[in-house]
Amino acid sequence: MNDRVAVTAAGVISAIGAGSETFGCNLESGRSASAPSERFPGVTVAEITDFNPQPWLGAKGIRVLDRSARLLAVAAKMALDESGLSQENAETGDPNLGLVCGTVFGSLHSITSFDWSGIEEGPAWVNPMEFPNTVINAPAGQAAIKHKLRGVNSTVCAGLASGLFAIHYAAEFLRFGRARALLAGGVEELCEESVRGFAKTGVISRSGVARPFGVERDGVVPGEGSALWMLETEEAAADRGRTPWLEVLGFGCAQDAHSINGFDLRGEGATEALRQALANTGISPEQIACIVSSASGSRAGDEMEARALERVFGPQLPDVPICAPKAAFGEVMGASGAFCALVAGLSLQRQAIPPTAGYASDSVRLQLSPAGIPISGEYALVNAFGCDGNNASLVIRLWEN
Amino acid sequence: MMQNGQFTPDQIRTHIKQLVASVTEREPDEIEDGALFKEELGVDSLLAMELMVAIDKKFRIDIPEEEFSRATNVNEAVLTVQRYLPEGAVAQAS
Amino acid sequence: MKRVVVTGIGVVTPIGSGRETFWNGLLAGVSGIGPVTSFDTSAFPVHIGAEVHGFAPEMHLRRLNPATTGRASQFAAAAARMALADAGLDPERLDRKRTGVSMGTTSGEPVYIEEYNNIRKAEGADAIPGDMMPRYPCHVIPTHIAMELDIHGPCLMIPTACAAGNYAIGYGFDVIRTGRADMMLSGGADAFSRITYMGFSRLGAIAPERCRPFDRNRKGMVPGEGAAVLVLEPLDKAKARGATIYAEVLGYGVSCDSHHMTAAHPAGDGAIRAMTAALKESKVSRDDVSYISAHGTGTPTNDRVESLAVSTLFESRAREVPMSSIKSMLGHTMGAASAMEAAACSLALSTGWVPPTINHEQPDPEYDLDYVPNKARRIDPRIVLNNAYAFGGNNASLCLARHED
Repeated sequence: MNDRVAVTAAGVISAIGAGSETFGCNLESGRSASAPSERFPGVTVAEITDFNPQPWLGAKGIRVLDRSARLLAVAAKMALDESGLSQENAETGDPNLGLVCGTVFGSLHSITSFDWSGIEEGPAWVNPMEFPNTVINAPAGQAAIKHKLRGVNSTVCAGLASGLFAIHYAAEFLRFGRARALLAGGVEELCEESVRGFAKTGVISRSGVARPFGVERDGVVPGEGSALWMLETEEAAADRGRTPWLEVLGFGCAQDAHSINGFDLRGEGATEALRQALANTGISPEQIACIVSSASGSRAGDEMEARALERVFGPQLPDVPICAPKAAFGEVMGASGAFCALVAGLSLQRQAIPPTAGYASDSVRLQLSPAGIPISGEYALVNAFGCDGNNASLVIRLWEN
Repeated sequence: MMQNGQFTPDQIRTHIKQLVASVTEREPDEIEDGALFKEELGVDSLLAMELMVAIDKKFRIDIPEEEFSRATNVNEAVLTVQRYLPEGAVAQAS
Repeated sequence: MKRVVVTGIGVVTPIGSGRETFWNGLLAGVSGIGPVTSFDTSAFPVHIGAEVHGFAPEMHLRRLNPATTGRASQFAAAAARMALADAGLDPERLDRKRTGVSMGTTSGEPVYIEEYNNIRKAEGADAIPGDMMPRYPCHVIPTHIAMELDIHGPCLMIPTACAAGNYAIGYGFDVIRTGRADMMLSGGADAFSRITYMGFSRLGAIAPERCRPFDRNRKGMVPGEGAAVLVLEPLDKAKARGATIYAEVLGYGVSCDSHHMTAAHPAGDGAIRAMTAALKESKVSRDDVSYISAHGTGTPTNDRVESLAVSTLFESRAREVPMSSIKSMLGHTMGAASAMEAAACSLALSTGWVPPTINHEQPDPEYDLDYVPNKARRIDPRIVLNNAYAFGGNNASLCLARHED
């Protein structure tokens, strides 16, 4: 079993742009997509305005795909094209190519709407075509049909840590020899049902600005989108003459078992996830060049992460460049681990961590910045810690032959 | 537009073509009366069911699934709908 | 990599709870299908379901509050406790960091969606409490098990619908064999849902009276609910503590039809590839397979394609491999189904008996495989395959073996 797992491409559709290039540039400019919502009046979100999947998916054959399926299929198309693994011209799809997708709510809107139509119109007149979209693995299934992905196909849910779990799940499958290439990441859509709940429970930032780790932080800005990596075995990439971009290294995870909807301020799960990721990579905290944090502007969540980082990094924590990119693209929930992993990859590539949008220089514990911070070193650490008890961390580095 | 849920045969045809066009992602004028749903228009079993429910809703009728599956094109669908519309609902064009 | 064994079984099912009741019921051909009682089906053309009756969450849950815990989580946590008890383990003395949970589901906690809409209909959207939606996402199911038992290891939900149980047990297998945990509680759970019922009903997929997998006159599936949890451990640790070992998990295979959201690939392509991958990973050949636990929902299409897939893969031997569907008795318990089937497979391997496909009256002339019609049979299987197929074309086959000292 050859252990090495390579990242050879990426696809992303987000509130700060489509495609890694645009996404990365907007991150570097310190822009935030937080704005009063067009789709949900009175709420501040980081939404993808005027989302049109046609440039990537064409005009036909997407009628029955809901928003989550479209977002995922768009990110998949980008990663497939960039990696050279698109099955568009293949008679039948490669059975060694698949998809692992993380999500929290899945097609919540589709499910709620389907039930609603039964209430309003009666069970006889619900649209049968909408029923398949009511299963949580529907976006992954739809993307597989659209892009002829016949290999491993899975959907995973570990709350806000889903995106990192998906990457690790896919990496392990590659190590087990169950596939040669897997798209891995996550998708989350903003919908009436989830946004309404966030707004009512005071989760959303009152000021409309997410200030991760900031002393004045007052909540989260919900976001949406999809981010996927193309993961391949070293052998598969070499066979195709592709030079990998990144390597997926150690993963760590732990469950707080505290609450389904409340950060555990003791941060034991987060601490454990961090320690495992480092141990499984075989490195010590000093070797981490930069940290892409999971912080979202949540008063409790950001505190929990800060404590866990302090516990693991000790007094050198303020020396480690760190960013909190959810300030830019919002809390994208099941996709957030994948988004943050992508930020880590871009940071290593550019040897600089992007600014944390709107950061006001008020944290002494952490080296965040409203401007980019140069980094030196080969390992990046990505966190995904949830208010749902799930915690995950991942270490990556630039590929070296 | 006829009153009281009445439809002329032409209207029935037009509505059905619109629905077939919608589920197959075509323009209504691309749908020929005799074009086979399954073999020529790509209507698989799930699409057929979607079409049937949409037709039921449009005309406020309830066509049994087995019955509807015997309609292989627009012409036959029109006849099926006429069979299931209540008496007096099919009006003559004036 | 470590070898992985099943040392405990906990189930909450339409034919009863607990390993013994479950297994005795399956061998006796007990059916859990009856008129739906949890909601009014008068507006539907069908009225039967496989519900769990008489489940009292307060009898099983010690830490979780049933009033704020969805039904699927209640089933899951109860099944997890039962599995630990069945494994002879004291939940207060687990190695918490080295114990994890992996579960499958189709619907998560649909009651919160239904409540959301009920309130919206009755009082308008503004009356909907804000804390309702956070209770719905499917990750709450494994988290609830972790909260109930104070478990802190790897914890994951794999919501691959009707194949989810196999995926979750497969993940537990992966976690143990790579040494990330020393124990996994793995399985699946789903609660009866009007959304699911309405969907399958609208597709014309629900049988009017009985579930009759592979029978010539089969008319459909019967939605059900429940949970099943297996305790998975490394073989060396299980032996060291003198555990009862029901079976060994050898491997699993997953594939995607990439064909249609609800209809299986007509040649059973994905199903064949999933079985092939499972056998390959398990390092056994199709000639070694002594029994198949079918997906066997009872719909005309699934059963035909499944029989075709098995016939294609096993060729001339196909008729020699008994294949039964316990959905004939349990209905289709969605995300719990393949976990219940894995439990049944484990018991088949340890007892030598395989459960029947009940309601089998007329063979389908298209396929004459051995569906173990109506009566349980003692065949002392050595290697079994557990097959599961889901919407979205997700296919998973789990391979288990008899444990021999």
